[in-house]
Amino acid sequence: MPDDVKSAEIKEFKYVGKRNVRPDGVDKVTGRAKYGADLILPGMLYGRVLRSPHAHARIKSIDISDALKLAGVKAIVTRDDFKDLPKAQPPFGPMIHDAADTTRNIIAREKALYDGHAVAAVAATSETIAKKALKLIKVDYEVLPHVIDPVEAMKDDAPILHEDQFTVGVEPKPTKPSNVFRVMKAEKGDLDKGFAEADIVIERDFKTAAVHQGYIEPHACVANASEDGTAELWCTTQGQFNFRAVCAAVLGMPVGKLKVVSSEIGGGFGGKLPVYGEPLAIRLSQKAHRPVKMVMTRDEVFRATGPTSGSHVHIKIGATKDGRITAAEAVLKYQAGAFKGAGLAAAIGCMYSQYDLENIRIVGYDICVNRPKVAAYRAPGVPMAAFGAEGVINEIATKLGIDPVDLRLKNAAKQGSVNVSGIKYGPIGFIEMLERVKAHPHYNAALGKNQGRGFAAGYWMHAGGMSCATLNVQDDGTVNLLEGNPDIGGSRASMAAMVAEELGIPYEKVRPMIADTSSLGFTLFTAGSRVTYATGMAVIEATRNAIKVCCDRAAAIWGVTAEQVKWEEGHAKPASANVGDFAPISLAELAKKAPMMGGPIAGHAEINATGQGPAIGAHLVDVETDPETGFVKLLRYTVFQDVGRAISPDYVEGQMQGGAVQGLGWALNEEYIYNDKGQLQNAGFLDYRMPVASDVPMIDTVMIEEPNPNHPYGVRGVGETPIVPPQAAVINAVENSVGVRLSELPMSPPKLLKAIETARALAAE
Amino acid sequence: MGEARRFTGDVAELDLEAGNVMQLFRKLGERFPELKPILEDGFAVAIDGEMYEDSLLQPIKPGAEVILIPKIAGG
Amino acid sequence: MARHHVSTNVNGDNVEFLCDTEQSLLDCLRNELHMTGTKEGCGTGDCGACSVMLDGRLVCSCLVLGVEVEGKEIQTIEGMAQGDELHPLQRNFLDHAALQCGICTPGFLIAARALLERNPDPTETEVRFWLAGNLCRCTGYDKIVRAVMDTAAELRANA
Repeated sequence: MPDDVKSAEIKEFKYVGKRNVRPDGVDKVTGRAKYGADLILPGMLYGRVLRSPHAHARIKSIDISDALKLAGVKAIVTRDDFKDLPKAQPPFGPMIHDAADTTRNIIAREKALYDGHAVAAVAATSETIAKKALKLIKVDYEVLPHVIDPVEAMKDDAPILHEDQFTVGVEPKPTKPSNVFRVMKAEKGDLDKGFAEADIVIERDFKTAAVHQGYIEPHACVANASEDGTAELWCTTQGQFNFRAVCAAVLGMPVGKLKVVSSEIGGGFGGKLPVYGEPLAIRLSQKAHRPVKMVMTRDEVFRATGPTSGSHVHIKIGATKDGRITAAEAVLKYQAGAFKGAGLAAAIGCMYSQYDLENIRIVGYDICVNRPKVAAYRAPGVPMAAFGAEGVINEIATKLGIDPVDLRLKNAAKQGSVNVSGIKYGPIGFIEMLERVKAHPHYNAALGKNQGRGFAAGYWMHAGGMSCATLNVQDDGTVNLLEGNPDIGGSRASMAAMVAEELGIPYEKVRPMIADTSSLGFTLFTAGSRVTYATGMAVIEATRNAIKVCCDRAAAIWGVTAEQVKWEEGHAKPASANVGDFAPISLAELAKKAPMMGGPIAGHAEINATGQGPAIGAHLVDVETDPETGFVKLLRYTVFQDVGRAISPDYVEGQMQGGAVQGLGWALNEEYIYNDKGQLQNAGFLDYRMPVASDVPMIDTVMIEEPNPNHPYGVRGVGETPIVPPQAAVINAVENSVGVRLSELPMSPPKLLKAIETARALAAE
Repeated sequence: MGEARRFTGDVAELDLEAGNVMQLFRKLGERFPELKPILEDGFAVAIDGEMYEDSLLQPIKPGAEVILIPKIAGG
Repeated sequence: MARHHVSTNVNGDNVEFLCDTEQSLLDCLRNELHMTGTKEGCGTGDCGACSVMLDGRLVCSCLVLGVEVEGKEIQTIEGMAQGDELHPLQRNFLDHAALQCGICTPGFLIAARALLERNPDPTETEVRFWLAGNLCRCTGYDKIVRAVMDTAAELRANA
């Protein structure tokens, strides 16, 4: 059982903070729940995509005439079916939509920019016929030299992906095109002064490989276009409203003519924020006048959808001999994939932000290479930078002879600390967390031969943004809640708990549903650890508005004013004894009378949530390394995190455990392997090795609850932080187990074994 | 903040009068035309340390310190 | 090319479908019989989302051809609950929050039931290795393993 720490001010609630069974659960354990590929419509066609086998090639012509003649083929689309769109201003992360890039990514225009880049799509009466049709499409490629490493891509003689891209952020303005889209900088204080004050300075280089989010459900959609110019899209997505906006832009449709319905989603982690086949399916449906289903194979998911960036990270940190960090510097070179937008803004804003530092400088390079365009992956851009930063901080601790947790305590951010972006923190629980780490049984447990313990901390700042919610009270006293966030991690359980708590009715009487784009106002995607926070705020406000209606009704029934009525335990009650001796009226009674008293009872809210804050975590891991094989066995793992307030502890723990295991896969085994032609060699789960149940131990969790004062229940976003510390923690543990420190991920057995043997040979000399 | 500085000719700090974020962006856009098209879509602001994103009507008190921060979202 | 006619038994019901030579059992279940509870995660037998029982044996239905199941007995997730009553594994998965997105859950439930039918008292290690053929990306496996172990204990107690 997890070991929770609650602040004194948190009171006991009836549903909030309890382990409630999720309202959508039964359908998920019986196979009834419908995911993206589970919709079947009459007359439905099957879509398949033709993809470039070349990493970099000019597309001279595409001949679809033979494919069109194949019986059963009903429509084909190429670049000619999509208008070119204007470039947007420089985006800052992998999630900002640049229309020109998106148009070119969903289907190639001038060039194929990666192995797997979509070139054409076919809709036919069966998958078999669609696949046959792809083989009949003739594409004339002029193969070009390619580049897949970001440092190689920066060289003067590197093949250039975009002849119209000139590096932003350098002076004087460049005249030669570059693969470097942008150089970003952030500074605080005086770095040189900071290094001058340091007693110890450590400088190291790190390298990480691209890793995929690895959601088990491939991208899938069914598009159904009508002759009246409207279309409906059913799809697995992290944001139906965002998908509507992007698809409409790419298709040249008014947003109001497109309705997007989100299916249940089989994992996302950021990877289902971009659109891929959806605009193709809609266009095919428009041309074929029939619904079109498009489902990616796993091979396509790997070749053509965004992994996170691979990186070269350079870290330089200086500290005094008693462990106070005086200067922190970083240079980050990130792969953006075929189009600009690696997660640098987040990396810069987060990599040192759990510490209270005076002198910081971070420079980031956003570099295009012939790989699929990167997409967000849980705390996008941060894990690679944190891997380096925490690695060097651990090394400083070792060299100074200071306990790694004590070193963090000496530098920990707290209320009032200001980070590199200028954000001043409200109350945060990092110091309390570090003290809990030291007091935890894991911290002092005995270790045996070839066993070692590692520690790392991590910072992420969760998002706010637009959310809408509508609550309708049914005439039997149950409540339908409409909110707009696809439920990846159990958020419906948290919404139901908050509504039940506010209304004072049983949890089972609340029915949360995820609305489509026609039924609710714009709601920002499920990402950025924002849902329980921001959508929670909208849901609570909608509920409180419904309660106001109830109190108004009760006041009218009693002939008193609304101020003289209070809402308590699911009933309207006189606010005090002097108001009168009126029996409480329940929600169900008010609902039953509602038709005769002004109409159905409802409440709604449309907000743009602000007041988000830091989400900090720290991980402890024990490993046993086999020096004969380089195999790392994970013995014990504990995740500590400041969660603000856990509305649904089961699901908060789930985020902590899931993110940690993803980070472990990132650290130990996962990577993209390309051949010398720039073609992906391991586009499947056999050779893209993600953790399985036998790879990991139980993942213990300690939730520190330092409530976020900006949310009615103190919620902090929790979903992303847990992927930030594991890589550095594991490398630290391996170093402590066999004395070998690696600076390159993944730390797969062959690499570790080589490092062990090299160290052994050196020691023998 | 580093990112905006590119467009301001390396001016890192300046005093402006603005009652809310929208007015601030308008004045910055008038002063630094290259910054104008990307302000609303690209930047959040920290007002006296508190972060606000997509909040054009957020009031700014006299004497407040406002910092421009590139928008970051999550995954 | 004419399609093949296959007669088989799914969850106790005799059913028939037409399929192409190269269609997998997974494809036939989902697209011919419209039983979408069994999921495709990879199509190459590496993720276990398509797990079903075939004549009492745990298989990846993406690695079985539709034509191979003529005259055989198949059990899918749709047959796991008995009327209104969830199987103890289904109930424990809910109580333990052993699912987040839920896409891998049908596969895990089928695989876990197969384990407990063979080994009613597995150790944690035995559970982890038996389930190593089922990928989950959301949960980190902790709550899944706890749900299976607790179900095993419950079934032993009620035996």
